Amino acid sequence: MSGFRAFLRKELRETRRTWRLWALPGILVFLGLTTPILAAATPYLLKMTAQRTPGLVVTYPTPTALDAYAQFMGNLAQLALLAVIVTGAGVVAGERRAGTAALMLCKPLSRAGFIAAKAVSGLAILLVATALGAALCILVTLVVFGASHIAGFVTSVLVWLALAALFVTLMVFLSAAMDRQAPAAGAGIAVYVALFVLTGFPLARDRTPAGLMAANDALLKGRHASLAVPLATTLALAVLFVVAAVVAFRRKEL
Amino acid sequence: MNGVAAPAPSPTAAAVAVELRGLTKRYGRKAALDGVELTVPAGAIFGFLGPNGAGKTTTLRILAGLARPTSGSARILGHDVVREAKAVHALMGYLPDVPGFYKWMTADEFLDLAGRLFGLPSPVLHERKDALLDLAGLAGVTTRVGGYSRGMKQRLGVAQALINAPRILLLDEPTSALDPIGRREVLEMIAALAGRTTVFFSTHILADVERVCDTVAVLAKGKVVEQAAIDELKARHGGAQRVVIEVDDPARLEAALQGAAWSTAVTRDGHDLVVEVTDLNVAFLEVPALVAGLHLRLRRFEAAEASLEDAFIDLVDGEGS
Repeated sequence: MSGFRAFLRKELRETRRTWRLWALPGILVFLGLTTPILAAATPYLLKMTAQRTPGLVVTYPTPTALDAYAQFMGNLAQLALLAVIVTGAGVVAGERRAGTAALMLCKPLSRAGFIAAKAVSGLAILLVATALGAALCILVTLVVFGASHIAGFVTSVLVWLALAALFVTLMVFLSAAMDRQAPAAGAGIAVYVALFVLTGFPLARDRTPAGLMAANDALLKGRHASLAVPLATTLALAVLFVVAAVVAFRRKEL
Repeated sequence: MNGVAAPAPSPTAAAVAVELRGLTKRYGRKAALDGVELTVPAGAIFGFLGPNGAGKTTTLRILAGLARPTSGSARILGHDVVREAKAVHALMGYLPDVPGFYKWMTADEFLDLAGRLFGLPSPVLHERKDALLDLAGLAGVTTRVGGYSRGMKQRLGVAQALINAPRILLLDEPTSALDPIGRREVLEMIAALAGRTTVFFSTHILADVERVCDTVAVLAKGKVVEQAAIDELKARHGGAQRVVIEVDDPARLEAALQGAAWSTAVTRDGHDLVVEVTDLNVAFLEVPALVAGLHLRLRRFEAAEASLEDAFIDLVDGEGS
């Protein structure tokens, strides 16, 4: 994979220097900082709303650290995954359309190296952003609610990370296989919806990445969840998507 | 600039820089290239001419490894561009017609990235970057590429194509976006590479070709219709032999020329008469005698040089008809 290191360096530098920094990392940091505060403020917000509506009585249990973590995980499962899909849709297609891929690939940078750098940088950014967001969430939750359910939360985050990593590689593949960013994003969202639907079918849920989507609640509460098979299929699919991305990109003319 | 370690060329590669054999590229039923045959000698400054849509960019993209031929072969310095892409990329520099840069980078950063992709050691890379930024007139420019004019981008494009001190430089319309000064600078840069690097550049600006190229090929409808040295091409396809005459009363001379056996056509160009002749030597003997016989004053009398434009139009029209 000639040129991989130099191109990976460019990818990481691009994240620091462009809007990419404010996409996934920005979202995760924002969620980490605000979700626990919002969880704590929810009863007060509901109470204020109820006061404006005569006759409406709202009873809301006192929020806990578990609520803060559950809300954070809920946001990861929806908002953050959609951010992964949308930002990932242009990683290869965008470079093809801008002509930058042509200027890079006429040098000793192989197409496999190009794709590998895209996948590795995407995974590295995901890892750092998730670690930062989760750490901030724990820190703010500690301040607001005190220490509890941290182990369950960390496990939940790690499981989500595996699922998000799958979507990073999926988007590298879709972006390499399709000529435009929008269809790649659309296909990514379709896969997301399909996985969500599969969570309702135990047979599929227990054998596919859909199992990771459905495990949050149990993991947060410290209950056992059988995730070995879903994790294995997630890892296998992630590798498959990278290989497929290389094959698809090799067929493309620039 | 220091040289870059590159694969050792074969004896054939040393003599031939580009070799296209039956190169065909089809997009569906349309043939962009239709059995192109071309040999470019090493060290040449080679002009690749053709009208829009003739297949120039497709040929260059195949040579750069960005597109695949449908059939036939393309070799650079003896290496097959499909099967030995890595070796080819190490030896060449390429500037596309519209180079795509990372807008967030500076010129220095882009050259740094390009040099690192070639695996240049840091001291060599720094030396080259400085020299090429200077050459491109971008030394000290700290603006990001996104804020560059088209001319600046084109100059950076040439600079990045030279970062590996290539043995062959492929340039697709390198001067089309430049102002006259920028054009002159790029052409001087290309001319300075003569003998050291093979330059293969496509263009439809014939004046550029006449200025720097020694050999040209004309591509029309996906086929090479002619390949020759410029003078040879002009002699073969530059049209009829002509003389330009300026006298004080062109109407009288024009009437006299109509009856001359050696004159095949007479046209007025302002005060000048442009006469197509069957034999230049005869014309040089007969015209002064004719002018003297009519008691006219001869102000100018010269042979009109066949132009590359005439040759180009002749070849392209010939292919079209």
